[in-house]
Amino acid sequence: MSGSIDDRIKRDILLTFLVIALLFVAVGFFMQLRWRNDHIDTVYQLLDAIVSTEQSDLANELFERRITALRLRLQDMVSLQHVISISLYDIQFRRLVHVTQKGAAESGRPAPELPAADLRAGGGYRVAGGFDTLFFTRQIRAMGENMGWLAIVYDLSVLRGQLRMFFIFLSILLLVTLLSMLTLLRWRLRRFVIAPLRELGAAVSSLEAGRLLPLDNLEGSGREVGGLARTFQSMTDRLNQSYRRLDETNRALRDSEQRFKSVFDHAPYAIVVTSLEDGRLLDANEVFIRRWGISKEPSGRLKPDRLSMVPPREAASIRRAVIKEGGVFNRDMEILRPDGSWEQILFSSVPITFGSEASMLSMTVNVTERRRAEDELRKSQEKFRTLFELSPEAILLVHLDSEAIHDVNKAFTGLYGYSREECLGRTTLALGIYQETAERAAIFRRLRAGEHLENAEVGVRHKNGTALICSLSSITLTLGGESFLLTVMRNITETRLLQEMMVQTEKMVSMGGIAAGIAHEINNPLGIILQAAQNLENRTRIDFAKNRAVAESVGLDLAQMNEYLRIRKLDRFIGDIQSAALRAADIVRHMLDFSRRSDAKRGLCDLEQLIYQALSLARSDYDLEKCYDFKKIQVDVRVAENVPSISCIATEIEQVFLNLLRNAAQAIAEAEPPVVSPRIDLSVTGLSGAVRIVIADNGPGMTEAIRRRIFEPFYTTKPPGIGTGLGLSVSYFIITQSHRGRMRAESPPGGGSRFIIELPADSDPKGEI
Amino acid sequence: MPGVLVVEEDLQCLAWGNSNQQFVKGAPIRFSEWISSPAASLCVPLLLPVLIGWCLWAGAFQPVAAQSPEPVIVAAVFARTGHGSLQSLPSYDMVQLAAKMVNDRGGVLGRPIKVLEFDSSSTVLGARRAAQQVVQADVLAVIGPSWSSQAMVMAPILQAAGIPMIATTATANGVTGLGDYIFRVCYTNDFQAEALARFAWENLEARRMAVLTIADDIYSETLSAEFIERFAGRGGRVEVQLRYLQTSVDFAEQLTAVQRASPDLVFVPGYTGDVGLILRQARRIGLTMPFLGGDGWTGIEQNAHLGPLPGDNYHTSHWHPAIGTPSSRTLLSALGAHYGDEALGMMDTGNATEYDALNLFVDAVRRAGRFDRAAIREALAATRYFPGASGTISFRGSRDPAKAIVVLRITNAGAAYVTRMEPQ
Repeated sequence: MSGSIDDRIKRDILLTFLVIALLFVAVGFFMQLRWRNDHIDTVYQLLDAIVSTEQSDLANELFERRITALRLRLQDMVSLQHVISISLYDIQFRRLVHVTQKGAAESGRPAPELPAADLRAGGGYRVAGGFDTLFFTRQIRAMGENMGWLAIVYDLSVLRGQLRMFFIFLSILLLVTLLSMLTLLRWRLRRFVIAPLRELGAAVSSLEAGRLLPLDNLEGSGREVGGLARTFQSMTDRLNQSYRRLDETNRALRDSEQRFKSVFDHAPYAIVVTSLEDGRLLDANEVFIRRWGISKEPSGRLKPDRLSMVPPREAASIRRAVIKEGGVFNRDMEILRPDGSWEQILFSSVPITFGSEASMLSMTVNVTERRRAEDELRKSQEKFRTLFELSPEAILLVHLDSEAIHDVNKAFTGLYGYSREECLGRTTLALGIYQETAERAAIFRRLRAGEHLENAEVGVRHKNGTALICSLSSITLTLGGESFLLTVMRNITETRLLQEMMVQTEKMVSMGGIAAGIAHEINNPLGIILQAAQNLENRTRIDFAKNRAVAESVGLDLAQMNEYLRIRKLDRFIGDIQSAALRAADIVRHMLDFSRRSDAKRGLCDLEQLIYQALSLARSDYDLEKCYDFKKIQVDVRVAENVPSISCIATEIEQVFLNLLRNAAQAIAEAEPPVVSPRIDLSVTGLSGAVRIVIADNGPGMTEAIRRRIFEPFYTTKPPGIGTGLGLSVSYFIITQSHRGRMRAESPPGGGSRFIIELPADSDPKGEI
Repeated sequence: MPGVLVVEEDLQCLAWGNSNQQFVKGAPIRFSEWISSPAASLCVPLLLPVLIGWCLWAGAFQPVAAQSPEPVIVAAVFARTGHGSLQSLPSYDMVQLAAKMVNDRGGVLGRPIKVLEFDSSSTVLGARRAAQQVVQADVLAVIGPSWSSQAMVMAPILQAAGIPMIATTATANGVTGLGDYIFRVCYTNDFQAEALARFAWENLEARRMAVLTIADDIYSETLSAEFIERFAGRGGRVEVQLRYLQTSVDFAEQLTAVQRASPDLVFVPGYTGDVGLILRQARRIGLTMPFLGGDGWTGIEQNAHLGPLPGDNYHTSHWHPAIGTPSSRTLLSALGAHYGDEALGMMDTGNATEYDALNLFVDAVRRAGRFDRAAIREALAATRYFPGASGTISFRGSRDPAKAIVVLRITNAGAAYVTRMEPQ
């Protein structure tokens, strides 16, 4: 650096002014050029306008060669300021008139002559003599015809003077401006910049020497330098404060680093820092070092500096994820331990800058044990789920408060006919499972009271309306903090039926024993009564010789006596005795059927033939015909193809069929209102190892109470004296006892009754069912 | 106020009302007069069947021509545009009015007259172009122009084309000398100069004159020269003669010179526009002497923009409503019928010449008996004592009529009739 600011600024100012002056001169020159051209153009326009206004008159006067008039006219025109002379020419360029301004003539400057070239050029203007004179020429035309030429010499010397004056004024202005600015700037510079800068320099030198010179005397040196001094002072203060704060921050940083280092080293998880570029181990905490058998040198260097925990491809994938997605979080991975075993880990990694190197901070959590436990838990859940699903008992999980069904198993859906989706979220009340809502309410009440239910028998209903009996066991349990009812239902409808049947059978068996004794005891007196009644009848008959002989012997008129008997209805009494005794005998005979064991008569039977025989008997049954017209009933018999042959006692089975047909006909006949198209369907189908015979009517059916008692001996719904009440019980006895079959009655909701008989097939004639 | 008639002299002295109408030989006799004559009472019964037969025969071959006769085309050349248009526009109307009157009476030789109007643009070049257009239009004759300078330009062209031209107020001497097809219905400048000199000398008793002439204008220059010659002949002295441009608006230079000369009378043979300005500027600078002008001043009182012109100002003209000749009265009644009460406001005292020009042409056609330009020219040249509204017209070889001059004075109320001077 050389030269003072003062000198250099002086030089710069001069240079700047020189450039400005040059620019001014250049711009001025171009402006002048433009201005001059504009001026000339304006003059031309003016002259042209003047001539245009006079053109018509000029043309006419030229045409008439009115020279005097033309001279007068040109004299008017030449009086215009700065016009030196005007000349008028004919079309052959001969000058006709020439007028000169008086002043111009007096000034001694002769009017410049017009060169013919100007005229021949067709008009326009030309500047000559260095902006001194403008030569204007124009054709005088009228009616599209050229009449001559007009030439005007215009004085431009004024313009030249104006140009000269402009440049002189501009130069003087520039010079004065330059000198004043130079003086002023120099003074300002010294007073407000150079002197204060020197003082500031002295102050800085003092700062270097360790003391601070007061800068108060710079206040008057202008805003900028004064401000600079203040800034300088405040900067020094702030610098000191910054140093102090820096020390504190460094200390805090060291402490923080220590803490984080401690956290890093003693973290219970394996933490490692690796290079993002090549996977080198840059740092690792103690857990990591211990688990991977790495040694750490005092310099912090790890040996070995690389590990191959995961296959290279996966390592590259992790690095990509860290770079592109900003990290890997809780990724399940399997890594190879140094001892060759595999370990399940949760791997997380984020990119960091370690020192100056792009790195990734990775943390691994060993989840091998946790995974194993989760696996077992899952298996256990699956097991219990399977148990729940495949349980033969219907299981129902109901939310205790909302009573909504939470879950059901397959047995439940099978039992009730509802799909799982239909059940979930709805209540058993909404599904209509319980036959009696009061019963359901009672169950809930008891369960809410903390009681357990075990094998409570409840009436339930299938989706299709079929009534079922279930054994219900229920407990309350807590799942996920909420109370549920776990209810297990077992369908015991069949069991109940079997129980009924067993009771019935027991009744029959005891009935058989009793019947045998009673029959024997009653048959003898009955024989006596019947015989006595028969004798009474026989021995009053008139046609018997013996009777007549005895009557004659005692003097009795048999005819009169018979008349007496008839009138006094004694004959009827005898008949009544006979019929009553026969009826009693019939009952006794039926009772004896309970005790019969006639296996000897068992043989292969044609069920279809037996059915048709029974039908034939029914149709010819006098009693039946008397009360019920069997012929009006449409009987439909269907025998399946593959019915296995059975071994049975034909007469007994036939009697069973007859009883059932008779019962059906009676039920139809008694129906109120009458059945419109009465029918009885008989069907024989083969089961596996059995034959099922179903006899169904479309009569009024029966109530559940009747159905339960229908096979009881002496139970009848008929008026007294009509039936013995033994038909169905005997039939039941024949099927169940004599043939080891099964028999039950149903009364579907649609009406009618169905009697179902299942007889064991021939292959297993004595098989248990 | 234009149109108000001021009669200062008794018109009984004028011989116009007593003059007998005389017709040249061969001129058509009016049908109404002829039909009442004894000859007609013999001819009609004999000729009527022949005439009817001829009409039927001619009608069989020329039915269309008989129904709509082809019009006779006449050109009217005046200034519709330019500085003279204001003064010149009524000229067209006068020609059309005259044509209408002729057509209303059955046309000329059975054919109606159709007037085509051409514009001279108030300039000689415009007049020349109009003459060329007239030649192209193939007209039978030309009525106009009214300016001598324009007539000087048009005359050679129409002469070459053989079209008769009847100038209206072109008084410059040389106009009709340009060809035998060139006629005019106005007096000439030498006669006008004589009348003006006489009026100046006798009526105004002027002895020292100043003359302002339109530079190089043929009308103004010739009238000035003739006037100076005649005035000087009477012993008068022309103190100063100055020239000016017709289009000038500032006459200070000329009027200052007049003021210096201080004449008894100032003679300005100019036109309405320039004269109006001269009069106003003269009175403004204190010139009180009378101003005298030629027929170029005609209608000056109707130039509303000039306002009232103070002082004694006289000029010659061609007609005045106060002239009580039958033809003048016919014109007046026709004007009244056509334009109503404002009729005189529509025209000036020079416009009777246009009316006369067309009627003279019609008269010539009738006398010629056919629509042939040469025949019409012959008939025109042979005109004797044609009773025009502006005076009787007779051509005696020169094609310039010797007519009476009307002298008018400009008053605030209009142009007042002063006197009428017969040719000597």
